[in-house]
Amino acid sequence: MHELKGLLRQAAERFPQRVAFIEPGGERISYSGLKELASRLSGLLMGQGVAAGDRVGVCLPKSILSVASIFGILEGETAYVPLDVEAPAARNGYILENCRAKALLLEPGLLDDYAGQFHGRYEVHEVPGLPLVLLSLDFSEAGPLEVPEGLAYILYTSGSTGLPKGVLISHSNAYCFVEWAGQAFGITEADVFSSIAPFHFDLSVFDLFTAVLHGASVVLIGNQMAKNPMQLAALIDEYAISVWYATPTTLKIMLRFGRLARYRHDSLRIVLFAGEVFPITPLREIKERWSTAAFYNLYGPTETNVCTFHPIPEEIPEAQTAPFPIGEACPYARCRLLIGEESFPPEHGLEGELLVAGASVMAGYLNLPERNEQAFWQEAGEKWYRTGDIVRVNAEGALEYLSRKDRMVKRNGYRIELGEVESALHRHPGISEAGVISRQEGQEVQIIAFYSTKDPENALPLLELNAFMARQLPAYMAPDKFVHLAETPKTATHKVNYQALLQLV
Amino acid sequence: MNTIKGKVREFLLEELNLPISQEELKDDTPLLSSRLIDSISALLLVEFLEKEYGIEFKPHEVSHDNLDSLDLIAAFVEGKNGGHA
Repeated sequence: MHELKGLLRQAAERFPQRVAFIEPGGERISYSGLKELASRLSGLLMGQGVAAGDRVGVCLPKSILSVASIFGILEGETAYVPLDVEAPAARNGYILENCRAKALLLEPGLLDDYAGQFHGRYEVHEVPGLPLVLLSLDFSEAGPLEVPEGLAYILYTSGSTGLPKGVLISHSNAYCFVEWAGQAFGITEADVFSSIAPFHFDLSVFDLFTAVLHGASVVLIGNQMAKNPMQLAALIDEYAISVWYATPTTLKIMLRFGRLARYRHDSLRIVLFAGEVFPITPLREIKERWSTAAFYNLYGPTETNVCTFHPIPEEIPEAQTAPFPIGEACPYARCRLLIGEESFPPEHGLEGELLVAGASVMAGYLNLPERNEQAFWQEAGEKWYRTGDIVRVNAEGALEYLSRKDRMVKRNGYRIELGEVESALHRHPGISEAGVISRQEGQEVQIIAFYSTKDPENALPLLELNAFMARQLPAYMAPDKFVHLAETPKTATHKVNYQALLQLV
Repeated sequence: MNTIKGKVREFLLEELNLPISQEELKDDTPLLSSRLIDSISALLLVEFLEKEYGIEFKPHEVSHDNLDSLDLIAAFVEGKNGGHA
């Protein structure tokens, strides 16, 4: 049975007393305890009329309770919609309406912020003994929605038109990756995973489900701790973590600020990184420090899950300066390259947009038929997801990432559509025009927001702009710099002239 | 002027290039929660404080509670130094 929802039941039968999830410095729960808690939450949801095929939002800090919520939602054959607990309520409110969520499991302290999002079409249910509230939601006025069968979760990613878009992932889409990863990295019940990525980020799928499939233990690392390299470094020894999955940004920050020399870190067995390019110098350095671990580069947009991987050799040659390839297709995925209007199998020397087909590829975006038309390339009766990533095939047949073909940038592995940042600026009552660009600054991507005001003489105070953006966008999308212009430069067709903006920085 | 706050203000404005004026950066202006400084700048600030005042942050002390304003930073440094800046 290739489904995520049975994984916890199987683990609870095989490893009832084994520690499943750990909150650093706090609680830990066994597999049988987690199963019990998940079933209780599942029962509560069903008691409020949530039925198979529905969607349920989870807006809780990372904790044993949020993990139990996810498994409880899956147990009821409903799909979970993980929300960034630190994101503006308006953005999360949009997501819940967009997927017509039937219920929301919410951090009680956020109730006032969220109540305003649902225009009276909700009911609050306290849950005795648990730090969460259950909101039953009614979005029937927004109209019906078609969702594919067997949906496991919906991950929302930044949308170029200004609104996040929901990526529909079925049980079988996720399961093929979860199963493969367990085998490829030799996961057993003796492993201790880190869970660094938040649950609304696709890296978390490995941490949650591959661990549970094999009865491993997972150390849950919340948002604040994930940004604190000194705490991250201390956790590895404290819990004898053996499997570490993080973005290159997190690993680079640990290397720079984590005081790694103070720790043994010899429990590490597998280090996986994904989400962005890892420059060779810091990779070499961390690999030398963590000499007991095998390193792998994983690649895949949210829409395809991990679809290629590349093992990092034991010794990185001194002469190597280019980053490692994203590698070759995982067994359940197939790759082609789109060059002009024709697609080709990957062969040495070819360069083009990466297309991905196979069992892990999403059914589509929720309720966006036009976007779905553009998202897939049709070839021999099959749908190939167009990644937007330009790649090249090297002499060994591995794929090398070169660049993006659109205005998407990445920060700490998170996707940011510059168009969504622009749309947020446009919602400010004092702003008449805005253009957002990105610039590589050393190893970091800087997002620079240019704007013109209705009163062209006066710039907006920075603190006010920061506060306004904090109500519109998650923190990782916030511009690094705001530049006020009396007039935003335009092209001949009256669009924002991004080339001209690039000249201004 | 409190020398800790004075030195940290100078560091924030001149080394981290905070894009606000000396007058706007008040003792209680939120730094991290207002997104004026990001998490990497906060770590650079920690390095500065450790070097300047001969103190050491424990891993859990690198947090908003100790770093979110000049007031909080000064109180933390003074606490670490037994009240002597």
